[in-house]
Amino acid sequence: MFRYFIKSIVGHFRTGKSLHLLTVFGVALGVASVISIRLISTNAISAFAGTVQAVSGNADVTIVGAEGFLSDTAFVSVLSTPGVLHARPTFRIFASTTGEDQSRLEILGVDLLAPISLPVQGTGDREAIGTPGWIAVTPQRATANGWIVGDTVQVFGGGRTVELVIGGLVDFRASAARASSGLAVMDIAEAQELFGGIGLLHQIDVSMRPGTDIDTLASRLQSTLGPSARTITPERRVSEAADLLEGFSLNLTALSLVTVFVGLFLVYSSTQAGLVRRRTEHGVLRCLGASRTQLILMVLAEVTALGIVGVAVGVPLGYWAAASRIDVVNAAITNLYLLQAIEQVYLDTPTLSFAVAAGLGGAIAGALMPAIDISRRDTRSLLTAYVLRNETAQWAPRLFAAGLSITILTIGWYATMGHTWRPSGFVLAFAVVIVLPLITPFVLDRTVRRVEVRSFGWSLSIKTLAAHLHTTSLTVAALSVAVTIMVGVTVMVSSFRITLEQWIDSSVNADVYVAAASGTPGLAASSISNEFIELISNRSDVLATDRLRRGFVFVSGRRVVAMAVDAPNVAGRGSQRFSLIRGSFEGVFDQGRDFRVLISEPLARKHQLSIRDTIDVAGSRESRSHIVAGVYYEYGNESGTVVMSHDAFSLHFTREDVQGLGIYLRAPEMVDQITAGLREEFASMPVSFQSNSLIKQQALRIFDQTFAITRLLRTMTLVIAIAGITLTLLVLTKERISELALYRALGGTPRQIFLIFLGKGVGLASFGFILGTIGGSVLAVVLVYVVNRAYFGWTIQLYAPWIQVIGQFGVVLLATSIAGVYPAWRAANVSAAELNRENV
Amino acid sequence: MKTFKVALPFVLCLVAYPQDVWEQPSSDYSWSFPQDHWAHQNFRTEWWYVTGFLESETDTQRTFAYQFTFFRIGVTPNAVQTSSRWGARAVIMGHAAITDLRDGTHTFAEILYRGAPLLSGVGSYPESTIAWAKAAPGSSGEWRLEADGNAFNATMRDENVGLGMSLRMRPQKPLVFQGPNGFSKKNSEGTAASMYYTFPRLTVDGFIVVGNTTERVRGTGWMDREFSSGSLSATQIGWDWFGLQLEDGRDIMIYILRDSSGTQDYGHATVIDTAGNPTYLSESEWSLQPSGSWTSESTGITYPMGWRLHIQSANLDVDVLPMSVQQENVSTNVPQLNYWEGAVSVTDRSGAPMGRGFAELTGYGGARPPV
Repeated sequence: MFRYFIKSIVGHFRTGKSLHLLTVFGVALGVASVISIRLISTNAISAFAGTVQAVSGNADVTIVGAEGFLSDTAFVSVLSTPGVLHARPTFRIFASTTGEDQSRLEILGVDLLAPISLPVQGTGDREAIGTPGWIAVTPQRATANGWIVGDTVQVFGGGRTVELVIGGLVDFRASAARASSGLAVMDIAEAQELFGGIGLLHQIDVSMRPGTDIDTLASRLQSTLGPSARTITPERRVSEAADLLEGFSLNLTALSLVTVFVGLFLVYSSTQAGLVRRRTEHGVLRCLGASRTQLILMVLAEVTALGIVGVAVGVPLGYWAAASRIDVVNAAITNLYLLQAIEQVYLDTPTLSFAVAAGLGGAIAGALMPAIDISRRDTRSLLTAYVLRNETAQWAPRLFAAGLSITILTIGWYATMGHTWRPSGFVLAFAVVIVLPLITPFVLDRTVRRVEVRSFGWSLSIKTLAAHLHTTSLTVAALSVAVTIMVGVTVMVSSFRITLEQWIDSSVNADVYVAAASGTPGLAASSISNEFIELISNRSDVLATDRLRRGFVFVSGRRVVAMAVDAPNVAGRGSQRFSLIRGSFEGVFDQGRDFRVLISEPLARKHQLSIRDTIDVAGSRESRSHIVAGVYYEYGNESGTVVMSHDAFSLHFTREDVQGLGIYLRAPEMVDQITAGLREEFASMPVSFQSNSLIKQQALRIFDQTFAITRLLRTMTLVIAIAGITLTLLVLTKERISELALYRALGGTPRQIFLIFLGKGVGLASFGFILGTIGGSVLAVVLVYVVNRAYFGWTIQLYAPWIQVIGQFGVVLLATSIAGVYPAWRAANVSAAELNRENV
Repeated sequence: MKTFKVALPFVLCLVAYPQDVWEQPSSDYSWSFPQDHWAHQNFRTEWWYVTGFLESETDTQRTFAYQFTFFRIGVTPNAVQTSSRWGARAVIMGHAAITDLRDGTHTFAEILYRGAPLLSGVGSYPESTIAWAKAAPGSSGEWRLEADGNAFNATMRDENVGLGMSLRMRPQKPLVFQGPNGFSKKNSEGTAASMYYTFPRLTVDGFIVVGNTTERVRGTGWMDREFSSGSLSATQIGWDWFGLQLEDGRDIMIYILRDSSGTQDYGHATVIDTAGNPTYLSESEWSLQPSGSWTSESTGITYPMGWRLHIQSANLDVDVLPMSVQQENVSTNVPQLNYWEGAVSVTDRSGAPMGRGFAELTGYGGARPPV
């Protein structure tokens, strides 16, 4: 049997090229989808981890400021702590070159005179210390920007424009292969001086003496430095970054697995079609003594071989998809989660193994049912035709019942137990995509049976869909799953966008916003001076101002944002920026009360807090409990926000700096002119002015960048589904060749047959789309009300983007029509002479 | 384009730097005391080197040999134009060691910091601090060398290795220049040289910490002061130095500079009489021959160990022998910085004691000298 398999397989591949190509195609697209998403997720973490490794080296403990920065005297305290072997200070600044390329640098101010080893090539340390603006950049960045040692570059960072001299090259990738090419090194004193960070550090990396217990050391350091510092291991930093990305990558992985699921249908269809074509061969093999198991193994071996080819095609395809969309992914990741962007995509063994398992597993799973089906037949039935329809039709009610049972069980499980389990939303979502294919044959059968055939045309196209249920129901199911994903994600993204727009409209309600020029915590340019605030407040065209201060605090051990605002009473606009879900503003902004706070919805959900509850807030200065006065909608920060008055904020933080200022104008309609005037007037100050509308535009731009990746996945899923329709029509052409010949013999013209086949395609697409739209709507509800709430903690108002959905229907219809042209043309060209006795 | 490992390997490598920007030693250098006890930041390198012997006040049979050294290694001769507390124009390195001569235990401690206000630095006259540094990572306290009108005070602490000292050192003999006007040639042409003076006899008292024990001590010391901008010539790889205090009240300082083949490239000796008057001897007037060797187990370096010293004009023919061979200093801060700095005895040819002192052996086995 094995020898027969080896000898016959090449012949089969040669004769059934289109079917096999489609199997390969299904596996390849599924693998490509999985691998591209896995690559994106793992490489985002790797990029962060690579930079952590490059900066922290083999440090045992890293100390960061609770407010994002540390005083440099903290370094002296760290040095004195028992158990410390080495301590390395880092002052960090993100800067961009001022040229057209806007090349981004992460400048590390380090102690170049310490007994550390950095892989620097270039001038000596005398130049490093004695040359103003001396900096070492990575060879990769130098090559990309055409820089050589001795060049002068201008960068903007920390709210300042600074001239730097390329003094050397520092190859971090020699020790940390995935370190960012944007890393650059300069002496700490020079970095502090040039970027306005005198007295500040952002990180201290500590190596411990042999024999020291890491937990003991960490706790000693924490106790020495107090709440203004946070002691953390480098591994923990990476795992925190991974946690940040968890929701993002889980969503995308789930979407990519759906692509595999859809690809599985394609494999099923093509395998089944192949088996139908070769049923005589299998009948003969059974007559010659081949066992059922041998038959199954032979089919699975063939599919595995095709699966391997599919994986071989899918892996580079997925790599290419990930590598070519790095910009889109980076926009999402760097906007929301991490500051380190993916620069190069690396394929690691676990990712490859996952993709191979998904591809081969999907291929085998897709072929298993047809293989078992063919093995169960008796020899006689294998040597005859037209038996499949009856069986599928018989199975349809049972499959429908199974689908119904899964639905009931899943809903029951969720209602009783599952709702407390965070990933339960994904279970619900998968239930949707599993149930749909199960109910499809029954729904299709029952629906098309009602169609009355009045002519040799469209109605016959629809009616005969039920006649070939074993083939058509699978195609409809595949398409409906694809459309489910498309519609579900479209509804979710659109709903989120509309909700966000409404939220931005209400929360961004000052007319002009002033931001400190630098976002690096602790720098002089990262705060707005009191003199400036006074100048603005006293202007005749200003009605009121709203000072914004931000910092990080800990609530039940989790890092959340603390925010202080004045919330001036400008016709209610000041406090209206917080759209309350429940509670009130009472005691929050009116000074002298008991420092009540507002909390964001994500914080309330993640910590199960509500109004009148007590929340323990630990800042870098002191910890204190507050009463929750209200819970408000918030979509800007998924980790949670506590809003309080400035007095309450000062209880938690030693810093008094204001990072933002909202300006309410007496004449809001003049906002553009006044903003332009302010920019001109305060051009020399390290602040930026942005009008209300510009802020809103930027927020939505970030949103659109974030969700751009989902479009790619939706497209891939749809491509697989449409390929499935083409395949189905081709199968029908081959399988029903005698039927077509009979039509021709009875007087059917090629045009009529062409239209019937085209009609089948359109019918398949319509059924798939209708079922998919229903499934997609359910999926959207799951994504919005279960997944988003569990992972991000916010409520999205559900909106139905009908125009978009109808547009997508048009695209699907057009695509399937085009996909149906070739099979229809082949069908139309079947000659009456191909009618044979057996098939009649 | 050369690769450099940022920091000491190159900070300490004098030959890697052009010398023209630093002030050069000169035979007509204008001395000004006590200011010259403090730092000379326009010279590239500088050190304050104290060695000697201490006796426990509670157990007079227990004696210790000690070393306390501050090195300043200039990075730039220019003043630092920054308000950052990390601003530095030099690196400060400190080495300290105590050898318990009863059991031969040698304990070495070191610090190495940029000369930035946060971590270390040098003072300027008339403030009392000459040099200071934060204690080594993992230890509280400081290293500090101070001077008042009558004495030098040296303190250091390293809780990691269990070493500390707080010593007050008063000159017993006047300051002695090691060469005419303190100009100490390091090669025959005088192109490599340093400004060099010595307090050959100090009376010392204070406290030391060895392990968990604090001892009140008193004893003697020898202080070398040297500053230069490149005291080794290009072909020289290290030196052997001896500071010997004889029982008859005379003191002897000898150094030999070796080239890469290990042979003597240049040497100098000074004999200081009981009143503190120096006699400078040329190489032909004395000889110093190794009589044995010792290989370190920790570094594998073989050092000469035991010498015969002959100075005809001083009527000296003596053996100089280590009091303990285990007096090697091995730096963990600076790779390859290993040297032997230890107590030696001086005996006549029959073995009768004639004095004691310290020897310093650098540049052996590929190791780099401290500066």
